[in-house]
Amino acid sequence: MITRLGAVSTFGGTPGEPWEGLSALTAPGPRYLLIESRSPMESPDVGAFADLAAGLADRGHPVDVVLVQNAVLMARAGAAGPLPALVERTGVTVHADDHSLVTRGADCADLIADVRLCNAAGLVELLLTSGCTPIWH
Amino acid sequence: MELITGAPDRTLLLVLMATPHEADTATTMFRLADAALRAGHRVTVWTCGWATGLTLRSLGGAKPRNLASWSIDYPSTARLADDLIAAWPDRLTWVVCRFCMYDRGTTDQPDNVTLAPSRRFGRYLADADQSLMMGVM
Repeated sequence: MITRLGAVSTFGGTPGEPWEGLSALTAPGPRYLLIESRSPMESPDVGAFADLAAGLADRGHPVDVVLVQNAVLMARAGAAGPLPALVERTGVTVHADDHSLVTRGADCADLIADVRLCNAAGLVELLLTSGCTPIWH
Repeated sequence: MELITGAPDRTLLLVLMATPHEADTATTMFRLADAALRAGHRVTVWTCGWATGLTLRSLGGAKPRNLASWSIDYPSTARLADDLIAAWPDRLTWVVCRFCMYDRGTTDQPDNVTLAPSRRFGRYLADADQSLMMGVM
């Protein structure tokens, strides 16, 4: 990001002075709500979606990842997938939908550490948080 | 993080795309709509593609009997939608994309849904405080 901004700054303004658009691009942007509905066994795009979450967090955006439907299967302790690395990222909070877990026979008490349980009301609350940009996959 | 839980009466647009029966996306949509309405918000559901069939009158009020649970009455999606609209007549607007409806022959719609031309999608989007596109066309 800084490299890109540095390149952009050479296109206008006085060389050596900060580009006037710098503050806008480096200011805290929207918070993102990434809703994953698929499991890694269904779609290889699940890994790319996790990469997107990590990339947004790396650029300073707060990111909430909510797992619904089959995606909750990767929240189980010991399950394969991109989640263990993602929950350790600064700025990323991962939630798993309780209804989706229960309807798949999963144990809500045996999830990957730091994955939070949520329900539909919690997801609505996240959706209607000011400045939230939701993306469904 | 600024939550709007103390300021209800926001409008949430839920857009259900494509085939809702390949996963439990329709269930997630019903749960989100119900939770948002209970929290005091307004909800607009826009159904596109085969999701226009969720409210078909020909579905009747119940699903075919489940051989494994013979005595249980499983409501059809048409009844779930009808019950939700009846419970929140002033806060829930259920819109069926007219183009998709004609394209797929899902024309047997009840009177309590709104049939809208696809170009009106932009108006619903502009009127909403938040929107969520669910599924992939």
